[in-house]
Amino acid sequence: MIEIKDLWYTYPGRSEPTLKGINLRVEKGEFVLLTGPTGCGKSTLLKTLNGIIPHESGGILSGSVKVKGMETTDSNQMEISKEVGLVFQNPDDQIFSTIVEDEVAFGPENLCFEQKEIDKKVTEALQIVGMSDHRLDSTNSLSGGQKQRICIASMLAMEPEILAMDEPVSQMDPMGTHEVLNTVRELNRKLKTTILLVEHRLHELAPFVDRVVIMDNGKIVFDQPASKAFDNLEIFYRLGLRIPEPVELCHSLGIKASPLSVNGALAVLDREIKENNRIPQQFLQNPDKNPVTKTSSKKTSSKKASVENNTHGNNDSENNAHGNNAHRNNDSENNAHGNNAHRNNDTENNAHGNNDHGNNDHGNNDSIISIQDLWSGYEKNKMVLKGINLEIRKGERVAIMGTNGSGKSTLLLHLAAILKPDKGSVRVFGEDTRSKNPYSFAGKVGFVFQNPDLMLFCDSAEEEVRFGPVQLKYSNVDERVRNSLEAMSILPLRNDLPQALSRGQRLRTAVASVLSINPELILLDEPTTGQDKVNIEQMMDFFKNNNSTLIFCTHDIEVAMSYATRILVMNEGQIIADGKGKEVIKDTEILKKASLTQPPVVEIANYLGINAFSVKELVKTLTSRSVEEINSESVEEINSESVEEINSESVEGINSGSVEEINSRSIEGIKC
Amino acid sequence: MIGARSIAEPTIKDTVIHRMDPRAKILILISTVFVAVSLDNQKTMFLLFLIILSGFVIAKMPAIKIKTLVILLILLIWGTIYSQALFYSQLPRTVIFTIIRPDFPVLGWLTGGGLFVYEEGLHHGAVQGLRSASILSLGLLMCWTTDSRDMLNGLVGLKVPYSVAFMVITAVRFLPIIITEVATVITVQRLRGFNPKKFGSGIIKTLLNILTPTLANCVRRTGTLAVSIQSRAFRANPDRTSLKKLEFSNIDKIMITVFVFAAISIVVIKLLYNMYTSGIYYTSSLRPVYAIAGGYL
Repeated sequence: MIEIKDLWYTYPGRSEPTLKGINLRVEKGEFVLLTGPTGCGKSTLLKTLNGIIPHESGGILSGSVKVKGMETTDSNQMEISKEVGLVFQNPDDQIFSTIVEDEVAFGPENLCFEQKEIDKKVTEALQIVGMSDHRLDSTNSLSGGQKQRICIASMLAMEPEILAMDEPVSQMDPMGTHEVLNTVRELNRKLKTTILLVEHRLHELAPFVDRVVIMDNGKIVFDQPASKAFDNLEIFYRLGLRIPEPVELCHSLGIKASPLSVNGALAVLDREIKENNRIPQQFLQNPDKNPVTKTSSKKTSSKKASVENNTHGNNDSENNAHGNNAHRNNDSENNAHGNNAHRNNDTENNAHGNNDHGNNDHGNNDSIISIQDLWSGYEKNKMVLKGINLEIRKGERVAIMGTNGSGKSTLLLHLAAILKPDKGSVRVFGEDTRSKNPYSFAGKVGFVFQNPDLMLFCDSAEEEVRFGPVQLKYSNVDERVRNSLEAMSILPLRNDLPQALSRGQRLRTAVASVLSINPELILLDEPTTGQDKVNIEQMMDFFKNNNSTLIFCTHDIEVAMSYATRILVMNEGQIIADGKGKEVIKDTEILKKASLTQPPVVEIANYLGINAFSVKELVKTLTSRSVEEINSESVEEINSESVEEINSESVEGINSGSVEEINSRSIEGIKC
Repeated sequence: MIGARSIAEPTIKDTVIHRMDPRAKILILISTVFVAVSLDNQKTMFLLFLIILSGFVIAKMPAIKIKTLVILLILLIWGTIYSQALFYSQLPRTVIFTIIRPDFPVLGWLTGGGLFVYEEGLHHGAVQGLRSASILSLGLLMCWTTDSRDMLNGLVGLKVPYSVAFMVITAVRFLPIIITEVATVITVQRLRGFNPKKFGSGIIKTLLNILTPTLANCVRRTGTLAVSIQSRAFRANPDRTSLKKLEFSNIDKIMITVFVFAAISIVVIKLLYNMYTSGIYYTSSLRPVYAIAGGYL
């Protein structure tokens, strides 16, 4: 279906080629994930499939790209475009209709389908991407993630033979991503649609794909079926790619298996227990939910009961959460209405302004943001934020999570005085934003927008970073610039034109331009979009180490868990949960409401009845428990042996003593 | 940011004007353009202007759009009247105010004999201003009450080639987005300590700073959009079908008939009148027509 041979490509004005001898063959009906570090040439490769390169971009191209036997360099771009459906990174660049249904209907209309057929295709495509309720909405009123769904729907409505997608779910919430990818996978299987998907979120996409192709520095450095792709993790670590947590867990436990899903991981763990006795059986205590242990539950039922007793008994000495989890596993309904309901009340109270919990945790009373009963919307009758109450203190790193269109970005815009409340008040650094404009907070508030392109207006990355400190007449401008460029790993690109950099690099330049000002409050709208693991960690570590007050919107729950001191969960314009990451993540009801999912490792830990929130924690707990169990078994054995020995010795001693005593008394009595 | 954007976007409501077929709106606009160009009478022109303005009330336009309209109209009418009053060149003309006397040093010579405000110029400017204002107002009313999809279908329905109609509508459709982006760029610069309100070199710098990301974004978007629509079979077939089919309502038919008839009538009457006044053609049987043209048109 797609055949690329020795493809080299150099962008106009650049000396080094972006693609260096690419060879790739994709068969009909394959679902290929193309991944790699930021700026490695993935998007460039995708553009060659559609003829955008070299027809639109110019530059120097050599080698061959064949799509369905057509050489793209020799063919008319329109002809190739009909064969290859392209979904691009930035949805704003693709949507041109003002109404959602028009955007989706555009393709079928061009293909001259009957009115009824168009209507049916629009309905189906919107259903697939979960946007049926937004059919008649204005495309301008949609959030980034919703727009991405529309872009995918507009392609799905045409059912192309080849679907090439460039980070099509980067701004989508996790549940939405899962649903859309499931559907794409179904289409791929049923209609034999060939899919080539570029994405950084390898760990989330791996379960859906047939094959994983990794690029680095313009070359394909790895090409394996998904089932075997994670047998050796060296390349993933080296390139800073995120590994699916179940795989990481198994490898960390020394198990030679690469399960891509939670169920797969549980199956592997179960097998390990039975075959190698590596993991303590007590952790597989949730047979109803675990399809693997379910089959063997009868065999282990007696043991299970003792394990349950054991976990309840261990509550005091081990940890409460362990016991609570075990309780939840046994009686999830009670839990939902019991412990969880209690906690939900807490979180709801928090959402309505009672943030004592969060405040106490930090022991810091320097409030820099105070929001009271904030209502705001882009249309009078359609409020996006509905009664937000929020207090944020200095030094907090707050992650705002939630469904696409839940109001996360709108809330951020209020914090920079870009939007004014329709009702209620927003106070930033003690000042009411109603009477202020963004200039009032220059130097104090740094904002990185979802689309970094609008933040780049200078002739070089260095000038871009220098702009803020110069305007604000700061000292040590050179030092600030250098530090910021270094922190965002763009020092080698400092002389490049910002607009000519890759999307990930542009985002980092935009972040660096804010960092150089060293604002007291940093607002980031989806900072992880299009970024690889190394860059995300580097950026977030910088904020963490600098104790910056940071508020960021993200769909990446793992990043939120790792870096946020507090997580706000939003749904339909309201904060539905507010607390520490570990507290929020345990509440599956809240997560479900906000279209979020637990990280796989937390799911696995829950199944195992362990209170762990990262692979490291889970591995630590599992291995320490193994040792404890072995130790306790040894102690029991030793004890029982000792007791028996002692008893027998005592009995023997007592018996012998008594006998002797009795005998001597008897003898004495006889004597008398 | 949002305010700027909502000015450029249509406000979709359920009013008589919103419900009208886009083809009817386009035909009415074309008819009105002919009428406005033909009319010379200040009172009739003002009446036409008022009729058009009443459309904004009927369409229940939001305050922000009314404010925008008022600002545009004031600038347009005042600018036209003032410029015509100063530079009216036809004769006879009556000076009602002297700005620069002919014997004023240097300036008198530079202006070629002084600068005056002429009464006839004011009248002429008022007619010109109202003419432009009427066309502008009706155009805005049409854009603000019609979704771009309907407009596209309307143009195609009036036999405008689909590619041309698509290009026109896409350009118009991206206007609000570009406005929003400009506002975002200004906000970004403000947050980084740059005050775009500074006069002098600040304005040039501001313009350059705004133009760079906005144009770069436009260029990038144009390329992506072109490929995106091509991969959705744009112009793959000579014809195309449509999800939404347009149908004229009775009101549309009546309105089109009235406006087209009125436009044709006014143009013909004015033509006959001009032929009469310029001595090309005269017949006594058309005297009532000449009277109407002279008195009201």
